[in-house]
Order: sequence, then structure tokens, then C-alpha cells
Amino acid sequence: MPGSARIQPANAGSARRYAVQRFGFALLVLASLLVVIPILFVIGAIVVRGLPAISLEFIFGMPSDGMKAGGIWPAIVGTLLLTAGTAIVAIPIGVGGAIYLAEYAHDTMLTRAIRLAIVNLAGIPSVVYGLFGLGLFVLFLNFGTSILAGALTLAIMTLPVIISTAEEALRAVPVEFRTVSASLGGTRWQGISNIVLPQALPGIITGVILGLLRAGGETAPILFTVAAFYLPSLPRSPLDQTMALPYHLYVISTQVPGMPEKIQYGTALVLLVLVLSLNLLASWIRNYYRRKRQW
Amino acid sequence: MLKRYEDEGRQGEDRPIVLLSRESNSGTYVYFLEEVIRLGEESELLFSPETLLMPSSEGISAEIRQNPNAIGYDGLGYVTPDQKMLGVAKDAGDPYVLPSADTVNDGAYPISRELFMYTAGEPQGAVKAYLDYILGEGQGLIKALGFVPLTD
Amino acid sequence: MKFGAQPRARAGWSEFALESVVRIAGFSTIGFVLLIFLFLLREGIPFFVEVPLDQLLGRYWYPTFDRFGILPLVLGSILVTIASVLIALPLGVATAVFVREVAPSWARDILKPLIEVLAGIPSVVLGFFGMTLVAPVIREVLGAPTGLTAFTGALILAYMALPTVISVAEDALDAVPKSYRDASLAMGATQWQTIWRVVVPAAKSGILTAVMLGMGRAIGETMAVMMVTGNAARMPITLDSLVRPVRTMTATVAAEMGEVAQGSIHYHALFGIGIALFVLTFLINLAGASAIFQKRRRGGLR
Repeated sequence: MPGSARIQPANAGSARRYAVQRFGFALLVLASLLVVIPILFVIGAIVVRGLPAISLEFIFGMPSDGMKAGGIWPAIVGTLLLTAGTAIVAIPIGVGGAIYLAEYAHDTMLTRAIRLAIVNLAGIPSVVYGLFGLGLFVLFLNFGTSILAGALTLAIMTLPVIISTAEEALRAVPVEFRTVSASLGGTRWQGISNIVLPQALPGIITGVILGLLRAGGETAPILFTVAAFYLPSLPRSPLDQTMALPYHLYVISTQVPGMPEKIQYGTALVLLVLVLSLNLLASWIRNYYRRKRQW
Repeated sequence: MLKRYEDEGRQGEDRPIVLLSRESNSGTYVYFLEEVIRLGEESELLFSPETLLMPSSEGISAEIRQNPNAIGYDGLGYVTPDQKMLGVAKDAGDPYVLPSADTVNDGAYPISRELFMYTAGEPQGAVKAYLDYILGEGQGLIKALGFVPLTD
Repeated sequence: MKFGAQPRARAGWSEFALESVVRIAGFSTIGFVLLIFLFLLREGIPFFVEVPLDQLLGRYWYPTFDRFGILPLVLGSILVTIASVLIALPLGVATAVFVREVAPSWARDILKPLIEVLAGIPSVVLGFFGMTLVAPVIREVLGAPTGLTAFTGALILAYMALPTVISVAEDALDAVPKSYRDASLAMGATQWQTIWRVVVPAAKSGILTAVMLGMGRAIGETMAVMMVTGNAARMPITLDSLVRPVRTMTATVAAEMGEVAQGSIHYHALFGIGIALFVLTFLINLAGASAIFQKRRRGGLR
């Protein structure tokens, strides 16, 4: 803890050592600034250049004039649909798997294999998920490029994040909660569902939100599995293609001639706002419940 | 191989030449390779590995607009007034011709390719309606976007 | 130790069912990894079968003209990844040290949320920013022919990897016992000396993990590199390669997959590159994560 580091050594020592320390600390501050200032710059630039494009029509309107005017509502809807689809698939499997790892699994080769698999899934490049989604869902299972294919691909990609954070949240609940539940005659599952899970819920929800916001911002997995650029209407079924914000930003910034700059930045801004507000929500939940924690 | 503009005889401009192209799976890429780089003959010539493969014609446009070292090829409709078009001569000694809908259609500008639409047998129903649209109203749209419409 | 009363007959059945459900959920992860690997193999193996090895390791990637040399792509990925780690490592470790050891709490309260924000920014947004605002600057400042270079890619990637590096490095510093620091200070060392001669060396393996995980993140990134590295399949072996365009494996797959004929050699080639990426990231993340297996458990049953 930084507190202990405030202890000044009894022997003041040479002034040189402290000069070195001051210089060193300045370097550390410089490094941190180098990390943080560009972040502010990126957000600032996108806000400043994108804000002029934002209007009710931009957010809720349909695109027109080859995307150079009008709104990006279908892309927003598409991203929301894909994120929802991801949630529906990834949350049950993820939380279920986390419960298994935290509450039931013994330290066997098989359990280690599961952990290895999770590490593996977490590391797979997003474009490889795209290839996989194309090979399995679009082609082999014949779903075609569809919300179904895209959401399933994104769900598998989000699984490791949810399992890891959910497991950590479950493990953070002290053993005593379970022992007390057992001593009162509860079965293992009763202990989990009535006591442990509710206690771990804030942590799980935080992890889920963080996982979903990453899924919503991804482009490569949806490139070949669902994304379309200019659709005249909103998707009507899970087998339809859809527009999506990240893909939309990619296309309008690299492929469309004469695209007004503020629309590009405006789209980036909308995506950023969506993602960052979820981020904020997750942080808020985590901090709020950390204070209310019963241990 | 020419690498800098000064090598090419452009006085006072010692700048590197940055080559831009479409992605390798683009029809424009293949056409340019076959007709311009290989000059329509059988050869093993390829784009230089130094060539930047941009994701689209707009990508080429954007880089050309802001990078004075860049040179690339693009569909006519993607060219904006702030970009410089180069005149091309069919053979050494021929006059240099700038591209436009007219010079393409009368054959004076040599770098052009036709786009074909294929149907299974005689076009019927919706396919026929679509083709009629392209041949009718569509030509006006093509011209408005800066591309080259069909002549009759 | 098993927690839970001896279940009655009916409760026993439902307990068993629930346990089976979560067990299946857990094992599904293994299933998915195998499934992914299987499908990559299924569509990618033909590439390695049909293209002779000497061509495969060739220097020329012209897939539409039957030249499938992946060397420029692999080297491109490696160059960009290593460069990005060289940027992210000092910045990340220094920031982690600052946040964990030196910064006053008000500074920490500003820094940590901002780093989390960085972690959340989608790669396409960073790529967009890099393409429109960073590349032109790099061209002017470095006098490069174009701003779409390996260095631009490395820069953007470094920032994408930073949150991972910082967070894992922080955990590593956290794991160093307080007694180490106290002992060092008690012997008269300054805080600075304590950090660099005692704490950081003690956290070495964790910091190494941070580097490996950051590397894994960098090598797998697709959209950002596709938008800022110029995508020229040149062999990045000259000294100035850092300020020249480059083409990574990931960008190649993303850029070419859209218009490839299903079942063609090109199609199989892209899946082949996918296999290479899968294996590479697996090995890197394995090396990095082996330390995670030793992390101390707090609660839970196991």
C-alpha cells in the first residue's frame, strides 16, 4: 500500500538519492500522462468533430443519399440486436460455467483443461472468430449471413470474459456464506442460488456489461457473418442481415466517396457514447455495491 | 524502378513515390495489372510489393488528397476536383488525353474497361425490369455520379 | 469439502440436474475451442496440402495470381507486434508503478477510470482516429513517404494493449508483500530505490505475463491495423521498415475474405492464415497465463 511507502527512512542519506528519486517520479508522471492524455485527445477530437452531426434525425432517422445524409438508426438497432443476441446466449453458458468452476469443480486435469480452454478462447483474434463464424454458422449450418450467425459468433467470443469475471465474483464471496447456509440445512444449490449468487451478482453484472460492450464494438467477427452496409429497412427476423455501428463506421470512413467528415465522426461519436456509457454503468454498479458489501 | 519523383525528371521534387492500389481481389486491380502494368501482353509482371493496397477507391482517394507523394488509380466517379488527373497517351508520340466520359467513349483515353451484366438466357421479369432501368433512367444517374454512361 | 446437507430424494434429483447443467456449461468451453480449431483445420488444411512449402514460405503474396507466400504477412505481424510491445511495456509498467506505488489517491481516482475507458474504446474507432488524425501527423513529423506505416500501427496497438499490460502489471505489484517494501525502507533506501531494486524485480514474472498478454492482444488485432498500416505486402526486413507500410496476417484475412470464392485455394489460404493466428495466439497466451494458474484463491469452495 502507498501508505507504508510514506515512511521516510531514518537516515536522510545523500541529497543525490533524492534528486534521482524526484527525477524518477517525474518520469513516472510523464509516462502516465503519455498514457492518459491521448485518451482524452481521442475522445475530445471525436466529440468536437462529431457533435455537429448529432441530431434527432441522425440518431433515429434512416439513411439516405447513399448514406451521406439522413440517420444511422438501422446501424444502432443492429448493434443493439446483436448485443442482445450475444447476451441471451453468452450469459447462461458463462454464468453457468462460472458457477461450475467456483462451486463444483475439483482440481482435476479436466478442470485445468477448462481453464486452458477459457484462456485460449480469450486470446483468439477477432478475425479468426469471424472465419469460424463464417465456416460454421453461415456456411455449414446454413444460417447465411444473419443476425443469428453474428450473435452466436459474438457470444462464443464473449464467453471467456463472462466466465472469468463471474467466477472471480463468486470466489470473492467468502466461504463463510456457504458454510452458514449448509449448517442451516441448505443444499449446495440452495446455498448458491439464495446466498452466494445474489452476493456475487454485482460483480457478475459488471463483468457481463463489460463483455457485452466489447462484443457490441467488434467489427471483424461480424464482417463475414452478418454485416451489411445499406439496408433499406430494419431487420425482421434473426435470419436477416443487419447494419451495425462498428461496421458502418469502417465502411463510411474507408469506402464511400464524398462522405462528409462530420457524419464519420458523428457515427464514431454515437458508438463511443454507447460503449462508454455502458462502461460507466458497470463502474458505477461495481463501486456502489462495493460499499454495500456485507463482508 | 522509379522510386522518387526526382528520378522521373521532376525538378526540385525529391520525394518518394507512394504507390496506391485497390485490394488484390478487386476487378479494378486485375484490370489495371493486365492492361496497364502488363500492357495487355502475357507477362509475369506484378504490382510492386511496396504498393499500398487500400480497402476501396475511396481509400485511394483519401490518401491522394492528403499525401502529396501518393499516386494511384481510381474509378472516374471517385475523382474529386482537388485531385490531379494525369493525361495518358496510347502510344509514345500520341497526344496526352485526360479522362472524361467523352474521351473514354470515343476511345481517345486508353485506360477504360466495360462492365458487363450477364443473364441466364433472355432477360425476363424482374431481371428485365432491372436491366431496362439501368439502360434508361440509370444512365442519367451514372452520368450524375461522374462515371461513364453507355453510348448507344 | 462438500458443503450442503444430505439431500432428500427429490431434492437430490434436482441437485444432480442443476449440477449437470453447470457442468455442461463449464465443459462447453472445451467444446468451443475444439470446434473452432476443427473448423479452421477443415477449411485451412487444403491450403497447406495444395501449396508447396517453398512457395508458402515465399516472399510474394499475390493471391489472385497464385502466389501464396505468407512470409511478408507473418513478418509484418511480428514487426508491428514487437514494436507495439516495445512502446507499451515501458509506458505500461511505468504507469502501473505510478498508480500502485507513487500516486496520491486523487491521481489514482482519475487515472484508473481513464485507463478503463481506453480498454472499452472499440478498435474500429481507434483505427478511424489513427487513419484520419495520426497518420498525416506521422507523415509530416517523420518525413515518411506515407503516414500509413508499421509504426503507426504499432502506436495504435500499443495503446490498445496498454490497459491489459497496466492491469496485469498492477496485480503483479500488488502481489509483492508489504514486508518487502517496509524492509527496504527500514534499511534506508528511498522509495525509488525500493521500487526498482526490490518491488519490480519481485514482480518480474507477473510483469512478464503482462507483456505476453499484451503481445497476444496486439498480434490478434484486426481493424485498427487494417486501417493504418497501408496493407502493402512488402518484406519488412530493411532498416526503414518501421516507417514503411506493412501488411499483417489479420488485416489480410479481413480484407480479402469478402470477395473470395468459397472452396478456392485463396479461400483455404485465408483459413490457413487463421490456423496460424490461432496457434500463435494460443502459444503466447499460454505462456502468459500459466502464471494465472497460481493465483491465490480467496473465497469459493476450491
